[in-house]
Amino acid sequence: MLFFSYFKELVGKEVIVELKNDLAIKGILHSVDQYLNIKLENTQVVDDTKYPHMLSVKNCFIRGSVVRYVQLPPDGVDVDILHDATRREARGG
Amino acid sequence: MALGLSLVTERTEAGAPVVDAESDESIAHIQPDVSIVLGEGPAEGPGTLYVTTRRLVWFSNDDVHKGYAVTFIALTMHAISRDVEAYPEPCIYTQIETGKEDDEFEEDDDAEEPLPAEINGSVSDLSLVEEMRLVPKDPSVLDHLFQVLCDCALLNPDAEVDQEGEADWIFDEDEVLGNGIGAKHENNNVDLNVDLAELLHHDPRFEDAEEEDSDSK
Repeated sequence: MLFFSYFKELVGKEVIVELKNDLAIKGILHSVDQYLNIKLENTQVVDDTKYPHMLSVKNCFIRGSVVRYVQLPPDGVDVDILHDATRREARGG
Repeated sequence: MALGLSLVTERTEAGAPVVDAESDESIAHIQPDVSIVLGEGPAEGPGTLYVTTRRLVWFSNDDVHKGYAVTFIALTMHAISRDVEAYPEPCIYTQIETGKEDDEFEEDDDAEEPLPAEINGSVSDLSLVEEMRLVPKDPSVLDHLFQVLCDCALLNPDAEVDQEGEADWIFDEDEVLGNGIGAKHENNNVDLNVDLAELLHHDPRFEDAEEEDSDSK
């Protein structure tokens, strides 16, 4: 549940979600659920050459299973805390 | 039918999709007066959208054998599109996982990019459709429809599989650089301090050079 808890902290911040089909969508994180399904608001496609029809959709729901990466805002990340938390999680702590 | 769009030719007497009660499928929402656009194809309609707890099903009002369905598991993303440059009418834009993303560029001599022919809507072409728009006649229903899709998507999580990532946890920089888990010293500070003191006071490099007798000219 680490990432679920972590992403909940990022609600309201701007993130870029990169999907497994290479599409990258920038938007404000509206909500996330336990499956890491992501809802973004005020979305924009980062590189519109691949999916030009997606330009500026307003609200977007992305299935957690197709997310490859979530790019985090630099001021939204405390690297040390996240680092320690992931170690504990991985070690079953 | 796990991934991709498929053709649905069967309907109940009431004109609704036949649901699979065994997999807990039931109709969650019905939206009449919706047109559908598959990929780059033309808008098809008028039709009725049935949102079930497992699938999105669209039935043509004119042709009782024409219907399209996609499971929520295959619906990778959906969004409200109000940008007229992207599409002239407000609609729900969706992306569909076809499972064929890697196959597209193999052995396909005539097409550089996948261009499924939606014109005749044959089954093999449908399964290549990656983008779909649902265009309601009344755009004010979009917000509610978007929410219904979110709710039903939540009812369809992926089956529990072993998390691939468990074995791949990265602990620190050193591991990323290939030096192995825990290669970095746990506590550098103490060592450094001692070394630093040594270096400050006894670094041989800072000893006075020994002068040798040499001709200065």
